Amino acid sequence: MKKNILKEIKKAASVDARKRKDLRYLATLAFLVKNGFLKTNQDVLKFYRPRISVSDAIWAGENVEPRILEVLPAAILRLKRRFIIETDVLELIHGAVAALQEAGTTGIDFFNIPFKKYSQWMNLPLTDRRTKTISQKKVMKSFRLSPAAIKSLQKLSAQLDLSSTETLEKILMNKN
Amino acid sequence: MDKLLKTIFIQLNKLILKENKNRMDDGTLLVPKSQIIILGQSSLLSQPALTAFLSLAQTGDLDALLRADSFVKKQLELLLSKHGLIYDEDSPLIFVPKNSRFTLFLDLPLLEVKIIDPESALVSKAVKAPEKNKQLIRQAIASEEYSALVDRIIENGGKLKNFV
Repeated sequence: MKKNILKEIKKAASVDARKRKDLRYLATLAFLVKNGFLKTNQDVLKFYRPRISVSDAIWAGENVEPRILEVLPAAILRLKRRFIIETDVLELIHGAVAALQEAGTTGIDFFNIPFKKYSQWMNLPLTDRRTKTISQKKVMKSFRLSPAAIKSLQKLSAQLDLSSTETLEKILMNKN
Repeated sequence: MDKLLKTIFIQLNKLILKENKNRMDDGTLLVPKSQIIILGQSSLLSQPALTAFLSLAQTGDLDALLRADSFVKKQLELLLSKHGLIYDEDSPLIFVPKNSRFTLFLDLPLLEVKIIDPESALVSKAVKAPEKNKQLIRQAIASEEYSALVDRIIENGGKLKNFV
């Protein structure tokens, strides 16, 4: 019994080995490694392309490495222009990406991966050092302040040698 | 990965030394020597000589058991973040199989880092997360590099048929 199962496992392992040579997997892994979403011991960077297809990434995640699916929604949202999003996969990714965009605390599962698990990669510092994490991204807000408050803010900003926004942030953060 | 983690832990040790110098000047309690045990996918990627025949991919989380002051944990999280990694808060929940071996990864004045052996890390994955690690376990079994892997998966309640 055990011997038969082991035989089947070894057979499946040889099928897996063939799948790991598929360009869809190699290009996806190279892209995610290069951008800091994954780490690997495989020599894949020669397969790096600046843009990859979402359907290839989903294939790679479903057929080879499930960790690709775990980081995929955050990668799509944070590196939007670097993904080719085919119309037939739009429905598959829409719910998860929209949940991340809302930056809430709950969202739908993505290929059985809970929101909590795939949303944490929104805060992962990326290798390009330019792409901000969700916790670093500035949010636009507008306020109507009295002329006296504006004058006071300008005076304080000049004293601190900071912009008005930086001054307000400093005051608010010191409150906590 | 092993080089990156060594860099991070050496920096962490320096920060603890610096903190202790300040505490000494202030006459407050010093940070005691901490222990970190690396588990999970990080442990596999950090032992390349023992895992070269596995195709490994890892998300940016470090699975590790910490026996450390809160200062050390905070500093570790900051250092990991600077290097594109996140400490996995669920690390204490990771299943450590019976007869796991822990080898010394780094011994620094205020920090001892140990690492679980690859076979035990694979048993843990096979038992607790077979679906996510299906191909990895199949590859490990097929490689025949881990002599007791199959028996230990069964002993620890795992099912071989999960990997067919």
